[in-house]
Amino acid sequence: MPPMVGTEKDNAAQEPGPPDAELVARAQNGDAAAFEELIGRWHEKIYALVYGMTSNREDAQDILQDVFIKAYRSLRRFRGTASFYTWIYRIAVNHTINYRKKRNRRAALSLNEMDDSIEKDPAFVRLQAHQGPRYETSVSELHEKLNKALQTLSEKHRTVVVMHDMEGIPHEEIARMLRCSPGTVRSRLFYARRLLQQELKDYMP
Amino acid sequence: MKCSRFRKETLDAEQLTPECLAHAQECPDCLALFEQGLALRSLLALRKHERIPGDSLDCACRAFRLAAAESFEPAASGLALVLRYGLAGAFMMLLVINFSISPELPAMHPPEPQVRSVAAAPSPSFPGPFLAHSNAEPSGIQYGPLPSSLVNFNY
Repeated sequence: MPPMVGTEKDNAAQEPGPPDAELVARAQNGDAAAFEELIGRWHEKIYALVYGMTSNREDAQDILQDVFIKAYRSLRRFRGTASFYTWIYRIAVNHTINYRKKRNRRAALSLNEMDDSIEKDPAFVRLQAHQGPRYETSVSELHEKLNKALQTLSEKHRTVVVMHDMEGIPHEEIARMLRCSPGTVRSRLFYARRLLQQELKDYMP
Repeated sequence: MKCSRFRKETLDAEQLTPECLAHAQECPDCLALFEQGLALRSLLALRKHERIPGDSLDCACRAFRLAAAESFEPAASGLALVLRYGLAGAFMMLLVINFSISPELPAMHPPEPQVRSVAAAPSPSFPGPFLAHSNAEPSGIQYGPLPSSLVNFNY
């Protein structure tokens, strides 16, 4: 399973240095260095989320920058009722959806490189064993197929799959970020997985 | 256990609880769904092996610094605005003060019309009619053919 994002308290415990709330308070008082520390802390997770939704690294890079700029400009309005990461994830999801709407296109795939460690991943090894040497799947083929399958989903279904199955965010947290009920999240997840199973049936047992 | 409950309970499950296992043994559809879900999740999890571009942090920080620098510009233009409105206000104040301390000026009225009687009015003197020179012939000028005179051909 992918690493869990967890609550802000968990993240504060994982990250060395001051908690998010303190950095946010400092950034709200004009401390740009504090905000840069927040960027350093969250950029990978936001990038993974945005890239998961777009399957396009250039778009993901652009959106990542926009998200932090947008967050900085609206930081004064952040009252701390939700955790910083819930707030910035919400900005990221909304901005990504709007970005794609504006572009009005099914983004062409522009994929990140795969790490060599994938070949040792038990899931990949199982897949190779299941398919047999004749149909041995290459990493790049699987990579492309996975991303293409994700792009067949609607924005709201893809968002939930990326957040839960890739980023490991719990249903309740996703519900808070997307401002819907946990039941809606579960039902979207169920539906999206069924569609993905159809798309990826060649790789299924 | 109903299928709907099984599906709800195993949506994110890695392993089946005894109750779910009992249902799965009775319902092959639910078991197949569970196994496929498990396989799909492990397949999707492979995306975690994608490398995040090394320059993503630098790019984000650079863009942020630019934006932060721009966000200071409104402060500078805010100062310019304060100066502009301050000057305008000071000008208005000066005008008000100028009017409040200046001596009272006589009221401005339109000049009263002068009434003159017709009798007192001087009678207009008109010059005599101007006659242009008449077409009378000036003396000494003769019009028409000259009178004939004798010519001495013997000369």
